[in-house]
Amino acid sequence: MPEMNGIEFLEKAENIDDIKSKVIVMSNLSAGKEIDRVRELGVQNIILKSDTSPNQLISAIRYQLER
Amino acid sequence: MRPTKTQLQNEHNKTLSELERYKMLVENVQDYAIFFMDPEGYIQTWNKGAEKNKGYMHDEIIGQHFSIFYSEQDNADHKPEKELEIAKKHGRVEDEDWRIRKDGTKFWANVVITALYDDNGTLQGFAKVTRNLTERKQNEDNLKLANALLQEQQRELQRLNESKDEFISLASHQLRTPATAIKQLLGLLLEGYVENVPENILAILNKTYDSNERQISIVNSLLKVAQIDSGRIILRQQPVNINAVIKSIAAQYEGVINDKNQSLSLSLPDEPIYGSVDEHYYRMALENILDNASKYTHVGGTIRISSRYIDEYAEISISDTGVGITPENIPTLFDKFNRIPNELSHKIAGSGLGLYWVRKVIDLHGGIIEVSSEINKGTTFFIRVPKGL
Repeated sequence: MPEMNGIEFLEKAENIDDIKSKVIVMSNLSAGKEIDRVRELGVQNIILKSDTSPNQLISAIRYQLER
Repeated sequence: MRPTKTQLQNEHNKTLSELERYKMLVENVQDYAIFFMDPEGYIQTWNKGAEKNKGYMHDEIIGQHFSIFYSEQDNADHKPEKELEIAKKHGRVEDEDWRIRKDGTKFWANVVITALYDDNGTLQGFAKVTRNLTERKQNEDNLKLANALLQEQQRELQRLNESKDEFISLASHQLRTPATAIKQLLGLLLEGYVENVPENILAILNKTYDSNERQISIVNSLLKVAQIDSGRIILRQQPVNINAVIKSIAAQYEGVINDKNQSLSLSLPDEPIYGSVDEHYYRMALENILDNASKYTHVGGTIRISSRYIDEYAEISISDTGVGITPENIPTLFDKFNRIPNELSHKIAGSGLGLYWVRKVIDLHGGIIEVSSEINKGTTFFIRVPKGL
């Protein structure tokens, strides 16, 4: 993303109410310290970009909104 | 009764020849320098071994001080005198160190100095026995060097191995990016986000999409294998009812199996079978085997799964009526990048990494995986993990 990456955003947005439940992280990293960091920052919904077609992304967003 | 003159004469002769024997003994031994020193350390006798080892001839050495065989440094440290003191105090002293020959060259010696007392307890002098161990020392030194070299090579190999894993990891992640773009763009066309795409074009796009999916799957396999090879996988093993795991996997694969008109039967005991497993990785391993069972079996074939305890293991066996594996191919079945050519293999996308990964995971669990097969009849995989108590 311009200006900052996803992790930097999550760190800055930590104080926003309930931000974690509104975030889906899409990444092509399936493991490693970046993913660990994302989990540390409270995001559970991490999807692998190369596993996700447009429809699957829509399902994931719907699922998140319904929770 | 007093001894006769003849008896005395005979005693005298016997002693002489005994003395002569000792003289012969000491003088002629070539492998050891054996000589007598007076209480101050001056050399009184010299044998062939001493000549050979130290280079001095008899006449030039008698009367010299034995410190002549020690290095300058040893003499500066008063080592010869100190050794005599220890021999006097303890009866003997042993040392292994460098000694100097007449020509100035060094040799590695094992030295024993023994204090010699007469019947009255008076110190008469010292016996010095020296053995040349230069060859042994050289061998030892060479071994140490070779050892150090081997260890360095091992470290280098380890470093290379790690950089190989890092490279595979990096390349694989980077390959995901263009593959993702293709997946998303084709997805837009195939999932109805663009109107009026002609059927014939959709057909071509579908094939392209499938091809790309295979690419993604190969990259995923590479990453899995790089991760397990790098030793970074830490299993969290716990007692798990493996019957429940296999039931859930079977439900997951129902669709795939039905698509090929195959039948899947589970023959599991009612009582739970507990294995000590990290469920996340154990599942993936079983899924891989079940997936293979279906892929390498023709339409209409049968897959049977059963479980039991055997020895100290909890076992799941997955059996198919598929193409089978020949005996020659079994030893290399679990090798990296190995794909066995068979009736169906040219139609099936495979990286040759699945079974390698499965075996590694089962190994990490402390388990065993075995296979039994007959060509054109079918194959059975036995996956054993330690009992989870």
